[in-house]
This record gives sequence, structure tokens and C-alpha cells, in this order.
Amino acid sequence: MMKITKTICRILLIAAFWLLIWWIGAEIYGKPLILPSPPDVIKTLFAFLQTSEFYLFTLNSLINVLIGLILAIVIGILLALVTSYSRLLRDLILPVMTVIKATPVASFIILVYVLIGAQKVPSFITMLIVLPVVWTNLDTGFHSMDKNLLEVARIYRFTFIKKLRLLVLPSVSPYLISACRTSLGLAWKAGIAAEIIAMPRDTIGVEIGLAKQYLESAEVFAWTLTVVLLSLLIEFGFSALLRKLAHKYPIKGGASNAEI
Amino acid sequence: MLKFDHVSFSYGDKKILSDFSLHLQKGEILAIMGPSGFGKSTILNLAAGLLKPDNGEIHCQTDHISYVFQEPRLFPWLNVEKNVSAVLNSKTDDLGKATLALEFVNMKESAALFPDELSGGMKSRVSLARAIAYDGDLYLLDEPFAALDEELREALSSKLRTHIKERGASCIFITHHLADAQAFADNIITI
Repeated sequence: MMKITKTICRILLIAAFWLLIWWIGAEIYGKPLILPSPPDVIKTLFAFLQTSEFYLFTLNSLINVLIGLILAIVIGILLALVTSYSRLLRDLILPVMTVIKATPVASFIILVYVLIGAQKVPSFITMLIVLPVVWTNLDTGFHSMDKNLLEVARIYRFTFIKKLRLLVLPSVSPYLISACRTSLGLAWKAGIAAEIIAMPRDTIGVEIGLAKQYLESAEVFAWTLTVVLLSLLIEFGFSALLRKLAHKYPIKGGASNAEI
Repeated sequence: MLKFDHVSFSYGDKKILSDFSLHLQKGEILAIMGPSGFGKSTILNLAAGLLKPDNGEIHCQTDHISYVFQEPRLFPWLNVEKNVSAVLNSKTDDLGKATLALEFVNMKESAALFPDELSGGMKSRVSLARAIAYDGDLYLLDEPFAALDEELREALSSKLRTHIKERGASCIFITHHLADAQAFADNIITI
């Protein structure tokens, strides 16, 4: 309990330090239209909280990002599973993932917008940007699997399901967890960027875009703060879920040093 | 049960086996002795189908093989009992076989421990228990008693020989100790 209180105090102190730096910076700069102060942003955020639109936009963006994230994780797992068995498929997939990672998100957003229309762009872009992270991590996990244990599974004629349960999942789970953690922040970045450019109805991204057009910097900051808080909240929930799973299904001595 | 017919095998440029032949009868226990690096473990890997020969042919009448590798090769995330029961078929095998196998190697009390909590000798015994629980028609034993003390080695060796003979299984046993080979095997070859 003491430790938790100490950690919370530490986090609050660090947050207070950076808020202070921001505040001082805003005061020195002296142009609230461009760099609003923390009280201005918090005031704007509280004003948002009083409106029903705020919850609608937030919910829509949350759904967009979560759909993209879940799709990326599911497709990434299946793809990594398939490419772990086929060298040819892995060689075919690898350049695609490299190209996706290197291509600017804005280029994809514009291309996808033309192809599938504004409403589906954020989820699709989130999926597209997160997929290489999930696949690369899992690909590393599959290739780091202990060859000696694979031979044990082969000698003792493990079925596909048994091999998956007793060998593959415990070996790659640290890599999957690492991929999920990295993907959470990335998903929000990609999803909101897609919303700002594609302008799907009733989303946070559209509001940020409009606020930028009208030079309502406090609103841009308030929406950004909302996204950051949502991202942190989901990461917190994800960590809690992992802790619960780790408690229920303890994995001792599993693979470590997952790629982050 | 197992026949090597003029088998050759190399790791890259390094020739390990050249024109090697072997005939293991059903129910026979054969010890292979020889210096390190002369291909004793390679023979077991070839017999198990983990390696393919460069030349010659290998005929094995079973794919139901109990293999004790030179290293214990335990699943680090499974406890001792689960490491042993992992090789059993939950639909067709009696899961009590795992407990019996652990009793066989005097490891029943350590069933709940994880591999990182075991000594080298204990890990070897778990690996042996896994092979016994699986109860193959062919036992491939790569220095299974190497990490054990003299007393335990003698006791286990005698019990295991009796078990294999009662089962009518065949066995290739690799060791550096002539006394072990003489006590355990029906025939001995050196390479």
C-alpha cells in the first residue's frame, strides 16, 4: 500500500513538473491562440464534458481505434502463425510489412479514403499501422522458439493443439504482450491522424481538424488530452487484464527479452 | 526393430559417420561407447528421424520412441508433473502414468516444482520419467545417468533395464562408463 502511494505521488510530481514547464512556456510565449496555458485547456475540457457530443465523438473514436487494434492483433497472430510454418510465405510477407512501416501514414490515409470511404478509414488505418508491429514481434517470437523443445514435441508426437498450448503460446506470449503494449499508443496515433484527414462523421479527429482551422488551440489541446487519457486508461486496463491472466495461468521461465 | 544400412552423415564438411551399419533386434539393449564428438548422439538423432542420413538407409519399425536427450530439455513453464504428463495422450492414456514414472525415478515429492528449482541430476530424472511415462517401443538413451551419483545411477539403471525388458522394448544406450554399459546392455559396440 505504502509502495502504491509512493508511486502515485511520484507520478503526480512528474506530471506537475511538466505542467509547470508548459505553463511557464505559455506565459513566456504569451500567445494563447497558439500555445494555451494548462488552466485554459482544462477549462475547455470541462466545458466539453458538459456536452453530449463529447461522449458521442469519444465513443466513435474509441470504437474506430479498438476495431483496428483488435483486427491487427487477430490478423497479426494468424499471419505470424502461417509464416512461421512457411518460409516462402514469410519471404512474401516481409517486404509488405517493411513497406507498410516505411510509408507515411498520410499517404495510406489518402489512398484508403479513395478506396473505402471516410467512415471506415480510421479502423483500417489503425489496423494497417499496428499489423506490422504485431507480426514482427510474433515473427521474432516464433523464430526464437527453443529448437530443442520443438524436437521434444516432435519425438513425443504432440498434436497441433498440444504443441500450440504447451510450447508455442508460452514461448511467444511475451512477444505478443510486448506487441500489444507498443500497439496501444500507436493505434491512437494512427486512428486520430486518419480521422483528421478523412473526416469521418462525429469523431475526435474531425473536432481536432476543425479546431485547428479556427485556431482554437485550447480545443486542440483539450481533445489531445482526452486521447492521451483514453490511451492511458486502455493501457491501464490491459495491464490489469494481463496481471489477472498471469495470476490465473502463471508462466514460469517463459521467453524473455521480447522486442519492444 | 532398427537397422542402419551403410549410413554416412556429415555436419557441413565434418564427417561424423561413414558407412555405419547397425542392427538392433526387438527386445535388445545395445550400448554404444566411444569418445566425445564421434557421433554417438548423431546415431540417436538419425534413429529418431531428427536427422536424415547423407547416404545409406535407416529402417525403424516404430515411431513410438522414448528419447532421453543428453540435456534434459524440460519445458521451463511447466512443473515436473506436467512436464511428464505432457507426453501422454489425455484421451487414451492413464494420466496416473506420470505419477508412476515420477515414483520410478524417486521424484514424486518434487512433482510441483519447476525446472529452474531443480538440480541437474533431478532434471535428468524428470527427463527419464517423461520417457518412461511415454513408454515407447524403442528407447533412445543419451547418457541418461550422467548427472546422477553412483548409488542412484546403479539403482535406476537396474530398474530401467528391468522395465525395458519386461516391456519387450528395444533400446540404444549411450554411455562413457564401461561398467554402466556392462550392467545395462545386452551388447556393446564402440565407435
